[in-house]
Amino acid sequence: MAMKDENASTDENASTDENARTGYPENEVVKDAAYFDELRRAVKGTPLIALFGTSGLAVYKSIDSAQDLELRKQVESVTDSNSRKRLYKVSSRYHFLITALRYVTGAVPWLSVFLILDYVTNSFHYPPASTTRRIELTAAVLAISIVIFTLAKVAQVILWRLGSFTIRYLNGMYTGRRALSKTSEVNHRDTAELD
Amino acid sequence: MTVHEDRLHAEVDRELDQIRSSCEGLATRSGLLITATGIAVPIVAARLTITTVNKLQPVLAGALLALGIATLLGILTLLPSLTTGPRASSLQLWMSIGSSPRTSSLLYDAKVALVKGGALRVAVMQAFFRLQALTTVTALALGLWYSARK
Repeated sequence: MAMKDENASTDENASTDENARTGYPENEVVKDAAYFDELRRAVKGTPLIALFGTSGLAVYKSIDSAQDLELRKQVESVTDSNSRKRLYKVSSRYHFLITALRYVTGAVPWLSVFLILDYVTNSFHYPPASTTRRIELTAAVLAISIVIFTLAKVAQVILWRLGSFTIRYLNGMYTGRRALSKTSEVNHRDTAELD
Repeated sequence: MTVHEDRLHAEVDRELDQIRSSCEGLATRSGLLITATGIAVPIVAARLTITTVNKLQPVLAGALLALGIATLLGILTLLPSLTTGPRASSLQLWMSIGSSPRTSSLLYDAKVALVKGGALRVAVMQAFFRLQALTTVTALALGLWYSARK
């Protein structure tokens, strides 16, 4: 019992130190890299081809934006100047890279539209003689255009996922499998605090 | 969980439910239109092969093409599946970890992210459905024009 009390007291001290360092109030959830990795894992599984990945991409983009916002919030709340400087550097780099990725991936479907327009122009360069041939050609062009656009959207989703992962990894914000143990560790600490 | 958090969770759940019912409604209407265009396509195609008036052939061809596009848009509207909540494995993990503000916040944030994705999905589905309806009406107009001029 005494040992349990001692552990709880150590946890409490660790929590107080953590809160003092980050400037968070006592019972507020610390949304660190592990938290967002766990969040990504929770919503994982949105099919890649579902509406060309549109809805899945929106989910991941919103999580990345939330992480960006949280980092900026953390910079404002940190009191220690060294930690603040370090966190500000990470936050501004992450913000810049995520914004750049947003523009780069956003351009991918538009590039496919140019490719489609070029293909359509070439296909109708010599107009077909009969009506049946015209219908066949139009149907074929339409089908190929849809395939090109679908591939571009899937490429956009893959690019976003890879880009986001690389940015987080390079900024030391990817916790991987450690996220689970970290989540569990923080939860045990929170539970101890509640007890 | 506080009353305030409880209310927020309830609101997010309501929005997820609304998104699901909107998607179901659109899928049903789109499916009905696909059936209608599916019936019309062979009739128009057969008429196109037997028509002797050359001037009216492009009208029928246009109607056939519009029906084809409408069917394709209908299929695109029906294609996606919907994620309405966090993965079962994550829910299981959070339950095993025990009650804490962190797991509650994770659950809420996951639902909010899914609401954002779902809202966009409904918007895209609506756009596809409107285009499908528009092309079906165009095909109908062309068909009527052909009948009047024959």
